[in-house]
Order: sequence, then C-alpha cells, then structure tokens
Amino acid sequence: MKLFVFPLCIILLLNHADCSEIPAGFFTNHTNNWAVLVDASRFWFNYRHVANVLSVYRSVKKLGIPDSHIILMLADDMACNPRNPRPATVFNNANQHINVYGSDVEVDYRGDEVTVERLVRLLTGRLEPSTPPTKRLLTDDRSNVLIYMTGHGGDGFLKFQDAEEITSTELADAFEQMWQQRRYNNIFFMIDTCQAASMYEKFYSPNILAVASSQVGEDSLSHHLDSSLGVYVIDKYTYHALDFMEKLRKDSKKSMADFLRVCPRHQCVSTVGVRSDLFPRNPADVRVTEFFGSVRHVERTDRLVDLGDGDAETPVAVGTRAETAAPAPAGSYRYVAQFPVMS
Amino acid sequence: MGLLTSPTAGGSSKKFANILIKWEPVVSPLLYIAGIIWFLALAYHPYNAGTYFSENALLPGLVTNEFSDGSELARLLKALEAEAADHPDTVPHPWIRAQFRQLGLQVYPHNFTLRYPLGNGSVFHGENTYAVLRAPRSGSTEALVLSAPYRRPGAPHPPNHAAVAMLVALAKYFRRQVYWAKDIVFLVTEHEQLGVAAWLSAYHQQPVGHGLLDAGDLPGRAGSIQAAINLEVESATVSHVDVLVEGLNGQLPNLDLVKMAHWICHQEHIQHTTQGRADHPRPHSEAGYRHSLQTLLHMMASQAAGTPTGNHGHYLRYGIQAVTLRALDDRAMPGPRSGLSHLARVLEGMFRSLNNLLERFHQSFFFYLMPATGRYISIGLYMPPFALVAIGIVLRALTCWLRLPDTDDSERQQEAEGAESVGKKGGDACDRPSEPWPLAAVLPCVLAPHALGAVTLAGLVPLTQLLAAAGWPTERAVFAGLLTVSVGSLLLPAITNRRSPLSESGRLLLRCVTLIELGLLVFTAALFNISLALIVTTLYTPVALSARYYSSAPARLLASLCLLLVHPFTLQLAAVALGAPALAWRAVLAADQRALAVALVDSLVYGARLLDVACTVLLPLWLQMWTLVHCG
Repeated sequence: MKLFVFPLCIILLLNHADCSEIPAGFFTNHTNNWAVLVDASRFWFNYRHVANVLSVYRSVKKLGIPDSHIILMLADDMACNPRNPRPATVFNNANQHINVYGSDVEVDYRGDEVTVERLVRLLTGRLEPSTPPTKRLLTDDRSNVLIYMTGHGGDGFLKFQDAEEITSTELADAFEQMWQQRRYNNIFFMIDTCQAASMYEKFYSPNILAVASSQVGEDSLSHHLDSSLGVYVIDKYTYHALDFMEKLRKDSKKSMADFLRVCPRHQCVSTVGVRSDLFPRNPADVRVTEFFGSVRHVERTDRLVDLGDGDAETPVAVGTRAETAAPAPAGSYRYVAQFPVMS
Repeated sequence: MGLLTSPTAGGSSKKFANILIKWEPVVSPLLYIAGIIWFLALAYHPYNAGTYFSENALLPGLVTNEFSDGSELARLLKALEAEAADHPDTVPHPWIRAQFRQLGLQVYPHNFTLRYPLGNGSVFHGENTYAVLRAPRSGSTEALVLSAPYRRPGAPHPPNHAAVAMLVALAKYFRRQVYWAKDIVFLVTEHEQLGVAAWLSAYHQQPVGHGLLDAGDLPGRAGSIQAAINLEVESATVSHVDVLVEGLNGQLPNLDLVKMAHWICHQEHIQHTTQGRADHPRPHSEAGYRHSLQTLLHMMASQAAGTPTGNHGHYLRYGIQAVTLRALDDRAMPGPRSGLSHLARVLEGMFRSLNNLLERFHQSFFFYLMPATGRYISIGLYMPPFALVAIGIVLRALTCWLRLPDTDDSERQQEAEGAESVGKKGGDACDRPSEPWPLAAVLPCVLAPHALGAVTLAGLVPLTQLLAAAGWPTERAVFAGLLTVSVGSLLLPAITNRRSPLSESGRLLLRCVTLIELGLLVFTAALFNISLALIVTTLYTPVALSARYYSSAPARLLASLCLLLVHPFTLQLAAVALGAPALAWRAVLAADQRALAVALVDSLVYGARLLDVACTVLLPLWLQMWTLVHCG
C-alpha cells in the first residue's frame, strides 16, 4: 500500500487547480521517521547523560515519533539508583519541573544490554532471530533516522559502559552497511560527548548530516548542578538544543540550518561541529521536523478519484496521466528480501 | 660466577673501582647534604603540588547539606552529660543503645577482653556499642562507619560526649533519608584504640595481639566497610577541625579522603588544620616556607613514631580508608566559632560523598607528606632526595667491598709459589679457605649483637613479670631492662674481640656488612614509613660513614661520643624530651618510662613495629659500629 499512496498523492496534487499553492518544503523524500537514542555511560555521576537522552526522547515524542519507531538505549538506571534522593525520577533541570522518566517512557535496551555489539547489530539489522520487533530498527529506504549518542568520548571513540568503546570507524562502517542495505533515506547524527567531532570524521556514506557538541581536543561541559540531588543534570549542548526544540511544534518551519546554529561558542564554551558534505541538500531547506518529528504532509481535496479495481499493476486512469503511464513490464520483478537468510 | 668474582679483576672495572675508591669519601657527604637540602626544599610551596580529587565518583561538596536540628543535638548532649555524671565509672551503654533503638536501627553490643601481658598480668574487659542503619534500597554489601570513642570523666583525654551526641543526632537525620546506598554503622567504643582494634578484629575475624586481645564475635554485621570517619569533639563550640591522618606504623589514608575532609570543612566555612596548624596566608614568602616546613616536620614526627594519632589508624590495616576529625576550641585560633550543627553538616557532606563511592579508594596516593592542608609531597617527589641522603651508605659499602683483598690474586700468588714446589700443593690452594676473608672473626661480631637484640625483645615481658613479683612497677622494669642492656652491651667488643681480634680485612668486611644492613633497613623502611626512614638515615649516615677503627685515641673518643649520641636509647629519650620541652628532667624520665612501656604494649597488642625494629635491627647495627670503633 505504501508504494501506492505516495504517487497517488503526487498525482492528486498535480491535478490540483493551482500548483503554486503547494507550500515550499512540502515534498520530502522520506515517509517515516525513526530515532535511535543511546546513552552509553553508567554510574551515578553520569546522571546527566541519562537525563540528556531522556530529554531528547521526550522532545522527539512530543513532535510525533511514536514509541514503536524509537529505540531508546539507557546504560544505567538512574531513577532506581539507591543514591537517588528522588527515587523513580530523572530530572533534566535543577528546578525539577519535568520528570523525564515518567510512566510513558519505553526503554528498549537497558543496563547491560547496551553494548557496542548490540548497537551495531541494531543499526545493520543483524539481530538474533529471537529479538522482538520493538527492539529492531525496522527502517526502509524512505526512513529518516535520527541518531543521538551521549556519554564519555575521546578522540575517535565513545565509551560504552566503562568497559568498551565504539570507534568512529566502526560507526562509519555500520552506516555504510545501512546504506548498502538501503536502511535509511537520511541520517541526522547528533553526538554530545567530549571531542565529539572525531566520531563523524570517518563517515563516508551519502545522505548523512552530523552535528557534534565539541571539536577534537575540546571537552563538552555540563550545564548546571542540582544541589539537592548532588549531580550535574544536563549537558550544555543538549540543554540548548532542548531549549530550541521546546519551542517547536509539528508545523514549525524552522530549518536544520537553524538547529545547527544552536549553542554558539559563548554559550557552549566548546565549538559545535557540523558535517554536511555528505548531505545532498542545503540544511536551510530541510525542516527540523524532518528528523525530529513524524510529520505527514497532507493536502485535503474535494475531488473524487476512481481507484480502479485495486490491481496494483493496472495504471490508474486519472486525467491525462494515463497516456504517460509506463507500459506494463515484460517479466515480473521482486524485491530482494530485506532480511536475507544466511545459512 | 659474576657476583662472586672480584670486581677488581679485569682492566676497565679495575679503573672504575679505583675512581670510586678515590672519590667516594668526597661524594658521599656531598650527596648526603644535597639530599637533605633537597628534601627540606620540598616544603616550599612551588616545589610541591596541590591536592586534587582523583576519584570521579566522589562528587565532593556538590550537594547542599541540610542538617539543621541543632536543638535536638543540644538536648542529646545535655542528656548524655547528665547520664555520664550519674554513672561516672562506666560507659552509659544502656542510654546509647536506647537512643539508637528508638530510631529504629539495629543495635548490637560487643564485648572484648584484654589480657595485659606485662607485670602482674591483669585482665581488662571492655564493651562497644554499635548500631547499623541499613540502606533502604540496596543490599547490605557495603558499609560506612562513623565512630566515636567514649571517654569517661577521669580519662587522660578530653571528654568526647559531644561526638556521641552527634552520632545519635546524625543517625536520626540519616534514618529519614532515602538516598543511602551503603549501610552506615554508628560505633561507640571504649578504651580508646583498644575498643576499635577489638571491634575491627571481631568484624573481620582476624585475631590481633597474638591471643592477648580476645575480641569474640559480632552479633551483627553490615557488609564490606568502604571508609570510616572517627569523630572527636572536645567542646560544643568549635574553633577548628583538625584532620588526623597518621595510622599504625606510619600508614596513611588515601589522599582523596583527606582532601575531601578538608574540602567539605572549607565549604562549610569551618577552619580546618593539619597537624593542628592552619595554612599560612602567604605560603610563597619566607615565613610561609618556615611554617610549611614546621608542619611537615610535625607530620614526620608523628608518622615516624608509628602510633596512630587517632582511632582511624586501626581501620587502615584492613584496607579501610579512615581519618579522624578532631574538633576543638582553641583560644589561640582566630576566627569565628562554629556550633555542633555546623560540624554535623560537615559530616553529612562527607557521608553523602562517601555514599557515591563505587569501589574502595584506590585512585589517589597512599604515600605522601603534607606540608599544608591543600598541598602534598608524593612518593615520587620525596624518594629521590631520600635516596640521595641514603646513597652514601651504599657507596661506602661498595667501596669497602672493593677494598677487600683480592681472593683471586692471593690464589694466583699461592699457585705461583706452589708451581715452584711440588704440583700437589698448587692443587690444594683452591680448596684452602682464602686468607682475606676472616669470617671466623667477623661472624661473632655480627651474630652476637643480633642475638642480644632478639633476646632483649623476647625477654622484656618475662622481665617485667619477674620484677613485678619483686614489687617493681612495669614502666620502671622496662626502662631498667633496656638501660641495662644498652649499657652492658657497650662491653661487647671486649668480649667478641678478645678471642680473635679483627684484622684490617676483617674490619673492612664488618664495615661492609654493617653498611649493607643499614642500607637494607632504611631503604625498606622508606617504602612504607618514609619519616622513620629519613630520620634514621639522617642521623645514622654520617655516623655509619665515619664508624671505623681510629688509631689515635682522641679520634676514637670523639667517634665513641658521636655513636653514643645516636644510640637508640638516647634517641628515644631525646624524642620524649623534645616532645615535652617544658618538663623537668625527673618528669622527662617518668614520661620516658611510660613511653617505653606503652611502646612494648603497642608492639604486643597492636603490632606496632618501632620497638621491635629498634631492638632487633637498630641496636645490633649500633653495636656493630661500636665494635668497629673499639676493635683494635
């Protein structure tokens, strides 16, 4: 049905009375949005990393991405940590107004399940057959994927669980595997760690836009301390990014270029880095909701449409489009199985 | 064969040996002086480092301390003082236990017995009380300890009722909180360090004191202890908090814990000191340098003694990092006074930080010296100057070894002689013991002092028991025994040298052995108690370098006097006299007697090694040097 609706919309629109009424940016080349949000560090003193991820999760859900399309990986349980003076809560601000660990949070990978191997398998689609669908990244070639990672990082690596690291090369290769399997349309890669820019330096697959909270050799700093909890609760870059996203609604027209300008030097102390050479479009033409929200562009019409017999191979006879419809193909074609069985 | 061949065989090593023999007498004293100057310079602010937190998990001082129940604290203190006044001869355990039980903690008693080994051998009974606050949301795998020694009104130390009251008030406050990840044990001990030693011995099921201390078993435990704080509060108003670090045998707690104590006191605006001295306001100036140097020397003096400065010293031997916070009101200290609830907030802050620990303290330094509250001299900084001070001993030993007559040369000489005579004689030359190694003469000079030292140490306890039957007090018996041995052993050279007097090579060999033994002592001691090692080295290096046979009588007299000045007995007497400069000589002698008896008891019960090392290593070394001077 998916491959049927999209051309239909276009056809409907082209037959609309006045094409110039279609707002700019209406046409995008993605049909669904996914988000992979990863917190890679554990221990009570890394509370802010969990708060970072949960805050991004909250914003992304607010803008419409459903839980079924979000993979949330938390390496440690801050809410139920015995040191937490406010048990069962995680706050991202010292005013403690929003509990980002509310009852509607679905964590897909928790605690020891967050490992480098799991992340790479998730991205490349090579999970064990017994993995439930909620833990799989079921993206296709029309999915825009937001990948947000936070934790402790260094030059070319991100530390997972105080036990292992994922290197920038591994991540770049995972994205390349995703591209070869056509598992994404566009990726927006966002990373908030120390020396974060080193993580996107090795990317070589197309259609990736990346932003990092600090350059190589710089540290990303935490934003503020909650002196009743006794920990730092949010990082500077994520704090300002969230500030930006709180003001968004599903119909916001803010572009990615605006988002990439979030947290300048005087606010973040570290220099935000951007990698846009792999991205085919100008970020100024891309809306923020293309990655952070799940926005369906819908145009209402009063015209009646004859959908025919419902046979997918019969071209639809609507207006003059039928003459230019392509002739029926000679043989029959099938798509390659998305999850090839290798036995 | 390399070790046993003479190093003077072969061309280039012979040249090196000659250079060493020629220049060593000049180089060794220079290195000694350079080492001392370098070490003293380390106390100057720019030459040492500032303390810093190595453990990321600590998050010290990030949380706002919210203890504010000063009135409860005052009420508890008043009640405890009334209780103590009603029962001045016993520890008010029932009151303490009732207080903890009302708070809902698990309260346990602990009984222990000490069989006093000296004199008439009385038996002392003691009782501790401890209460466990279980962590609300985690398993009882780890624990923290807050301990306070209870002192009865007649005890030699200042009263500590305020600390016990603080324990109860803090227990009440801590009980209401949900954020404890470790169990907290509130421990009230009796008999100062003995109570803590007994409790820890029972907790870890490790007997101490070779059967003298019967610690029994504990009715309840709380998991592996990660850190401990010992509290001594002498008055209800506090002028400053002294952070005491020295433990048993000079062991020190992790620098992170010490730094945290200072940091949180600083945050709560309470004056904090180390060695009872606050920081100089201008550390880069000359007065500032002298102040830091004095603080450093104070620390070295207490570390060298090897007795813990507070109850925390006994936790350290189990790998539990601990400090003692001593809060007192010193009239001479300027600045505003703080109240007890202020101090309680400091403890709250420390426990919140300790609560964040994931593993035992292991990141920061265990070997350091502190010239100021925020400065430290790490082992990497103090070892090179120490090595310079002590290297003279090793160089002199090497020179003596090189000057020993060549065994190979003498054999070749004998072979050359024997080649002229019948061949059989040349074959025997290798089997005959070489003439330049008069072991038969040297061995008694080494073995006899060591045997004497061992016998002295072993015989002190029977001596006190014997003399107690004759009515002598223990202290006087120990003093008399050690004095007799010290004076009597001066005649040792006459005894050992009468049969086989030492030849030139015998003296060289004895010097070599003595210097090597001294070097062994100081370099191994430097690993765990740098202060003791440095003091011994500083005093003994010039003496050891110059202890040899002098042919002229005035030189011999001078050497003897110098030796007598550094006799272990003289040194400990001088240490006691220096420690109490205002006392008359009779009082100094009485204090010395008490110090020796206490050192013996510490050695038997706690395992303090100062007396043992002085008797079994230092005294024989001294006697060997005395033999060298008087072996003509």
